[in-house]
Amino acid sequence: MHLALTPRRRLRQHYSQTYDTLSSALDDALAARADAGVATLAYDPEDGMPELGVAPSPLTPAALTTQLATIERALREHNGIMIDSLWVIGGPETVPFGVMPNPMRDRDGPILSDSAYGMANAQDLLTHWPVGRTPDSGADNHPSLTHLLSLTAKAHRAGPQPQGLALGISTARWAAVSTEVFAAAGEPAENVLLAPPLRAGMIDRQRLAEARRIYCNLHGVTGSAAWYGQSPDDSELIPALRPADLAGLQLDRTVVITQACFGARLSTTNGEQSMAMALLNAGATLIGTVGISYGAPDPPASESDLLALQLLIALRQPGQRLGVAVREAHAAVLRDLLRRQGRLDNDDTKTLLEFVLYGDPALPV
Amino acid sequence: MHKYQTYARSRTPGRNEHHGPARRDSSELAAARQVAARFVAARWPTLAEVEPEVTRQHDGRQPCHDLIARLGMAENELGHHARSATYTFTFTSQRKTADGAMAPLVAAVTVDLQRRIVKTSLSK
Repeated sequence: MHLALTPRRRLRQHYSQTYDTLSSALDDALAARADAGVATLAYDPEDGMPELGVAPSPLTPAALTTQLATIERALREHNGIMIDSLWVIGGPETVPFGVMPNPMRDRDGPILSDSAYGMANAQDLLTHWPVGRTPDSGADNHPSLTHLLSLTAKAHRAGPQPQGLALGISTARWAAVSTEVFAAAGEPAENVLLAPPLRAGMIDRQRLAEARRIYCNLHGVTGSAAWYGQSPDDSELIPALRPADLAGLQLDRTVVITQACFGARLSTTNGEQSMAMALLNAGATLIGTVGISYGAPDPPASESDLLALQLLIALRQPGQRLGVAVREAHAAVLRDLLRRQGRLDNDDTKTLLEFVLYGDPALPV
Repeated sequence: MHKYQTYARSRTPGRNEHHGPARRDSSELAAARQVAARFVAARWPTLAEVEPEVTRQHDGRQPCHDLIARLGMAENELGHHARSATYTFTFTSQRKTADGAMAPLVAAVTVDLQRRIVKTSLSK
């Protein structure tokens, strides 16, 4: 059974005059899911599930996690039903990210991630079920969530799509690691664009539009919405991809894997929407982090490089659901690390907990 | 950023007690820190004057049995942790981009007791 966390009470408060339009879009997305054979149990945490004996819960990370554990137990014990995925509707102002201790001493604060809602933690790094979120950027961007739900409904109705090409965009500094990842994933190295020479405003939009998987190994920053490239000599960071580069593009069913720090940030910067929101509004789904992410400056690949590799592989598996592919990628990284190292380092732990999926986890890849 | 801390001591040694383990930890840590600092300064000058945060990792984070089972692995598939205890030095700063934004610059360097660098992670 797929769960949909639909905080209608809170959405009504946030969206007020446009709530009816939003609600219709949500109902349509749920109907499209049902038509696609995705059996879904939608619930508002603030109502609970009285039929299962699950009490209402406030929309706080700890309470939501506790309630999910109760739901899981109730479904399993009463009906012998397992949770196949959790789809969260709304941005972090509506449904906050889970909060987990940050094992890295990097001043990044706690890990903000939906992994907690899949019952993952530092001792048990693999979610018990896939989690995906369809977000918005905040209360000042009302049309976005309605639009994203409409895209979700359209995607379910379209069904599985042909696999298609992968495109890589990497800093020139990390070219060796990026091409190693791409090659290990069975993708041609000539499909990795390097920044520089690539700069913001220069990307071949046709190549973006044709790609089904886009792998971004770029820098993320504060104070700008762009993702940044870097020269091979480790010198300054230069904008490589901006939200404006995506204007008018249709990236339906494209999955973007971004290793950029703050790559999953949703809020605007200096009035400019984030790369994550720009990609989502263009129809893509996105896998990235809210905080600082890590990888190797030079081969061999490590941390988020390894996760990106496994994501590129998992997202090519025909008949797979998006959330399952993401979870399989995490599992593959864990198996590899545990076979090689026997243990997990702090940066491995942070990497495996912090990546979030923006998109309906029940969508076919 | 506060100075590095050691985590190896379980209690403060008394006046007449043997000081061996504590002193060994301090010298091991100092040697490891020097290796890490030199490595980082050579590659990222911005971090040359940064005092790192220090974590001693005995054997990393042990996976729980439930996780191993859910991964479909057997306990005997876990890699043997041949390396000795290590120290991870995390150097944290920022750097300006060409257009004035700020990018995190975090280098986490792990050094073993033989003063070998076993891992380097860099912020993206």
